[in-house]
Amino acid sequence: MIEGLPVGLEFGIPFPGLGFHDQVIFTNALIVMALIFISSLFIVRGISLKRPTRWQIILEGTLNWLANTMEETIGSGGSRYLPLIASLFIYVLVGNLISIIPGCVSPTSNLTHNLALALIVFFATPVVGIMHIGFKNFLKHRMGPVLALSPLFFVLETIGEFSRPVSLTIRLFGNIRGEEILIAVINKIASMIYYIPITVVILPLTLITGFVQAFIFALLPTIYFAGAAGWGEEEHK
Amino acid sequence: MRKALTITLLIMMLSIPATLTLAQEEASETEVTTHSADIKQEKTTEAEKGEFSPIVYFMSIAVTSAFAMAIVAIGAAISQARAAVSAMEAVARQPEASGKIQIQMILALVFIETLAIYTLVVVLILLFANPFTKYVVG
Repeated sequence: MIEGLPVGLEFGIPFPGLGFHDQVIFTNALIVMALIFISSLFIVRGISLKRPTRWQIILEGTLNWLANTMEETIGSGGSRYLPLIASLFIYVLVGNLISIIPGCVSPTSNLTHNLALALIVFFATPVVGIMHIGFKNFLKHRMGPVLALSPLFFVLETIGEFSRPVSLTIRLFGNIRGEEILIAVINKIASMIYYIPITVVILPLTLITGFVQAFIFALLPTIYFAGAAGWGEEEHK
Repeated sequence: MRKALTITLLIMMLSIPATLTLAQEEASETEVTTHSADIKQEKTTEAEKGEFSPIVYFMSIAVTSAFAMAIVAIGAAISQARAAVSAMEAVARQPEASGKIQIQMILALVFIETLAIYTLVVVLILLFANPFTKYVVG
């Protein structure tokens, strides 16, 4: 199957009721979560305002950069939902990059896993919109400018809303999975002719794609939230 | 540019039936050589009747997926180049807005790339998770 094609060394905790590939993905997702949890515990332990440690500076720099990017993209108030967006970013980033470790598989190379992440955004978007402009204004926003055409607008907007998690899911899945297959195929070709550690050459490509996809996975929810809450239109009123 | 595109399209349109017929001939030849075996005789008669053989099936899938990726690569490359060119022109005209323009350009590039990724997913499904493979292979 498209998801079950073995790429390299794979291991999974044998959970009952799951296929082997699902076990591998579940185990790797747990590894990613444990990595983030333990490292953030260690970073938080040495935190201080006057003499910041090295890791604290790295983490704060990343969060500041993300907040600035969101403010630049959708105007002031863009970094209001930084906790949700930043945790999505960090989780997807670590999940994309964990395939560098031999034996680990990116949990983001699974359609179901990505759908779960995208559904968080899907359900959070109307909640954010209703929290900011109220239920009435939210519905009015959905109805479009002309009252006579409001059913058509409502249907179109709803279909557009449903296409977002699909595109989020398939974008992340296709990028990460396609890259894994590419690396596996090139490794196979290289080992057929001669043993060449060609993975070293493709590794930078993996890093770039993983980072860009994590960034996109964080940036698109921001834009969805902005569209639902009408942050860009506050200046016109 | 347009000439090259038409030539490529023509070659493609010619090559798909050509590979199909070639594959069919090869399949029938390989089955004719094993004609003496009693077990294979049923298969030969099937091929002579014009049944759909697995080799034709897999070859057509390979050709289709390769050309799908090639076409989508052409389209995505042209449109991404247009986006990048206009972003660079905007940055050259207004260097102080480069940060904002860069983010917008990345977003546009991603939306274009998504179409290519959709094709990649379809190709992967055709190659690795095709639901009709079991009917052909049996």
